Amino acid sequence: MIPAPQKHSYALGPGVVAPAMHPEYGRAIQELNNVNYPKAGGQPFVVDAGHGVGGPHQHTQYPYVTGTSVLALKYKDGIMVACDTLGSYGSTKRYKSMERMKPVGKFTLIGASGEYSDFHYIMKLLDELTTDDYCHDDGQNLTPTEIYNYLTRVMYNRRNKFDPLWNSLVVGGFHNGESFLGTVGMVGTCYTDSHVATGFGAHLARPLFREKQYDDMSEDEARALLEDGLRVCYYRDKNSINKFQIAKVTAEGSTISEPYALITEWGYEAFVNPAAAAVGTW
Amino acid sequence: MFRNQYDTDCVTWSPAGRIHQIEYAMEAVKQGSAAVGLKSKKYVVLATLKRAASELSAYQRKVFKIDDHMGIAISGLTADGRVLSRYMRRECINHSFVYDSPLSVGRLVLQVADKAQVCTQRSWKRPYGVGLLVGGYDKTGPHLYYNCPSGNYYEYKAHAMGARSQAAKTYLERKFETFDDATLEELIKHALFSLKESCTDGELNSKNCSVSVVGLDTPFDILEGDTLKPHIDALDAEDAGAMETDTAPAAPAADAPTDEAAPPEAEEPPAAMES
Amino acid sequence: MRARAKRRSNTLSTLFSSIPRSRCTTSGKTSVDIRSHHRSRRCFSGILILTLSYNVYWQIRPREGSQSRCYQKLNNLDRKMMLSAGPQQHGGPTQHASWSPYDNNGGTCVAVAGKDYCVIAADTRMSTGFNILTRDQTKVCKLTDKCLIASAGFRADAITLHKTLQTRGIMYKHSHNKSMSCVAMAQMLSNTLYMKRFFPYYAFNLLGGIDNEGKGAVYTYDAIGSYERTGYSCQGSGQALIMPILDNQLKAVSPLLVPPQDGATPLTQEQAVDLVKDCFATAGERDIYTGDEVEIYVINASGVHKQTQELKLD
Repeated sequence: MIPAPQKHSYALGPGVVAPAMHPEYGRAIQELNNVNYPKAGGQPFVVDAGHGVGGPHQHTQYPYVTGTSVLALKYKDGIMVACDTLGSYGSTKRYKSMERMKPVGKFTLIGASGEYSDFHYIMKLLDELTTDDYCHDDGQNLTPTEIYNYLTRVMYNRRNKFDPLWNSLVVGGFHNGESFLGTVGMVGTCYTDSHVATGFGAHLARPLFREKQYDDMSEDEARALLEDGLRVCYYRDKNSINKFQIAKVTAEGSTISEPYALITEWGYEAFVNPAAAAVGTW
Repeated sequence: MFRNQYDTDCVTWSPAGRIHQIEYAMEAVKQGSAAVGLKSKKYVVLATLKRAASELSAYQRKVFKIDDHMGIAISGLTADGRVLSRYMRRECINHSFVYDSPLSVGRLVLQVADKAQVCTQRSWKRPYGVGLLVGGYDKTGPHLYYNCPSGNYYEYKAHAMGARSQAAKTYLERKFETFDDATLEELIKHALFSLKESCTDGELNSKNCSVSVVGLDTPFDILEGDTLKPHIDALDAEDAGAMETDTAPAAPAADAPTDEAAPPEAEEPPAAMES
Repeated sequence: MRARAKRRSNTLSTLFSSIPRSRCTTSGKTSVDIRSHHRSRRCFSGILILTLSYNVYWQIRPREGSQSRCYQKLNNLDRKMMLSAGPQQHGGPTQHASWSPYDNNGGTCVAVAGKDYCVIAADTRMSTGFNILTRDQTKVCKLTDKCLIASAGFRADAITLHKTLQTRGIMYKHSHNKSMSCVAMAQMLSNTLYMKRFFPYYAFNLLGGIDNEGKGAVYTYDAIGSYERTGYSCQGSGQALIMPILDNQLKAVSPLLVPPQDGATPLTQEQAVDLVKDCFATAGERDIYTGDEVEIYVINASGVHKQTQELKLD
C-alpha cells in the first residue's frame, strides 16, 4: 500500500484531527479529514483508493512483533523507566535487542509495549513535531505534558477509526523543575501517577511500587525498586528476557542505559516444583 | 499613489520591482483608525481608536480576543480582520484541544503571515487589507507582533499603525526605554498618551477608545466604556497637571493632526520588496 | 498432552498483547449492540414531556456462536467495527487477541441541587477490571463559572467529551460575549451525546450548576443524550447503591405535575454536602470501583468551592 500523504494543520501536528467545529469556524474538518479534498471543487483525485474514499481498508487486527511490560516511577531527580529488549513474534522470542524506549526532544522519554511497528509510526509522528520545533528555531520545544496529551489524542483518534495503534505507552519527562509521568493505552485510556506499568507489569510490578515508591526516593533506591519490578516480571512473564535497559529523565536530560542482565535466582523451591503446592496443576 | 499599468493584480511586477496591489493593501491599513501596542517585561497592552460610521451608529470594534493569552488589534478592512481573528481563534482552540496548552504567539503569527503571503502570489486572490497588532503572553514571555498584508511580520517593543500613527510612533520612540519595567497602569497610560497623539477629531474618551491587556497571570481582557473610564480620567488629570506645571511629558495633542499632509513614506520600507 | 499444549498456547497467547486478559477472548468477538432506541418525545396538551428511555443500554461482551440476527440490524459503522474488532471472520476459533473500543474505568458521580446551590461530587478512583489504574484521577471538569460536569465510565471518552464541551463553550463565548448558561450547556451536552449515538461516548454524565435564576440545577443523562433536569441524581458504578439512599432521603418531584414543580431539594448546603459524603462512604464500602477519595464541588453565588473526603483504599 502506498502511504497517503498526511495533511495536517500546523497547530495540531500529524495524526490528529481537530474537534468538530461550529460551521462559523470554517471548513477545518472537511479539509483535515480528507487528504484528497480538492481545493477548487470537482472530484477528488485519489492516488491510493484504499485510503481516501471507498474500497476496503485493512485495519490492524492483531499485533505482530510485540514488546512486553514497561515500568516507570518518579524519584527525587525525575523519572526512571525500564523494560526488557525483547521483541516477541507471537510466543517466539524473535528479536532480542529491540530498544523500546526512545527520547523525544531533550526532556521526554517514551517507553512502549505492544506492536513495535506501531511504535515506530508513533515515533515518526513525534519526530515530525520535534523537527518542526527545531526548524522554527524559536527556543520552544514540546513539554512532556504536551507530548502526553498529543499522544492521547493520536491513540484515541485511531481507536475512533477502528484502526488502533496497538501500544501502551509510558511518557516520562522532566521540565521546568517538575517531573511528569503518564501512560496512554491503545484505546486512549490515559492517566498520570507517581508510578506506572503497562501490560503484566500492572499486575506484577505495581504492587511493589505501591508499597515502596515515594516521590523523594533517591536514585539508588529507585533503581533497586525498578530492578525488583523487572525481576518479578522476568520470573513470571514468559515473553520477557533477562536483558534490560533502564532510562532516566532528569534536569540534565534523558539517558538510556546499555542493555544489561539482572542476577536471578531459580533455585527457589516453588520454581523447582511449581505444581507441588497446587494439586492438579501442571 | 497613481494608477499605472502594472497594478491590476498582485502577480505582475512593475519595472521598478514593486507589486502595487500589495502596496495598495498596505495603504488600506494606513487608512484605518490608529492602533498602538506596547509591552513591558510582564504585560502587553493594545489600544485602539474606534470610529463610528455615522453619528447614529455604534463604534466599530477594533480589538478581538483570540484566546486567554492572546488578542489582536486591527487596522484597515475590519471584515478581513474578523476573518483572520476567526482563523486565529480556531488555531488556538485546536492547539489547546490537542496539547492542553496555549499556542505560542510567535508560531501563530507566523501561520497568519504565511496565510497572508499566499494571497500575494495568486492571480485570483487579493491581499488582506488589514494590519494586525498581535499581543500575547506565552511561555517565552510577552510578545508584540505586527502582521502586514504583504505577509511580512515584525516583532516590536512598541508599535503603532493606522491613520496618523506616525505621531503615536514618535511618542513611543521617545519613551520605549522606560517600558520594560513599567507597571500595567503605566503601560496603559503610555498607550493612551500615544494614542492621543493620533487622535483626529476631538478628545480621547471612553467611548471612542478601547484598550486590552494581557500578561503574566493576567488573562486577556478588554477595557472599554466604564472599565476604561478611570484610566481616561487619570490621563486627563495628568494632562491638566502637566499643562499647569508646563513640564508636558507628552507633546501637545493639538500638534498631532497636522502631519497627516505628509504621509510618512520613508518610515517603513516597502514591505513587498523585502527579502 | 497435545490438548494441554494447545490450551496453554491459547492462554499464553494473550500475554503478548498489551491489553489485560479480560479483554481477550479466544473464540468470541467483541461487539456492541444497541438494544432499543431513543424514544420519541411526546406532547401532551401543549406541555412537552420528555419521555426518557432508560432501557437504552449497552452491552459489551464476548459473543458466542455464529453471527446473530443482531448483526444484520447493525448499521454500517457497527459492521465496520465488527469486521475490525472480531477475528472470527478468519473462520473458527483463533488465538489472536481481539480488542474493544471501549473500556469501563468505573467511578461514581453524585449531584444534589438546592435552592441556591448545587453540589456535584465524584470519586477519584480509576480502574479497569480488577485493576486500579490510579487513585487520583478527577472526573469533574469545570465548563463555565456556573457549570460543572462529572463523568464516570470510559475515561478516554469522558476526557474527549469534556474537552469538546469546553471548546464549544469557548466558541460560544467568542461569538456571544458571555458564558454559556447552565441550561444551554445541558442541552448542548445532550446534542453532543446524541450526535454520536451510533458510536456513543461510553460516559455516564451528570451536569450540575446554577441556572439563570440562581437556582441549583442537576441534569442527568444516558449515554446517547436523553436527559432530564432533576433535584438530585447519581451516575456510574455506584449508582445502584446510592440512588436508593437519595430517593429515601430526598423525594423526587413528579415531572407530570402541572404547573411544573421546582425540583430543588429542601436541604441546606451543609446538609447536602454531608449527605453526599455519606453516600460515597456507603458506596465505597460495597463497590470496588468507588473509593480512594471523593471530590466535592459546591457551586453557589460566591463561586465554585472544592473540598475532598477520604474514602477507603481497598
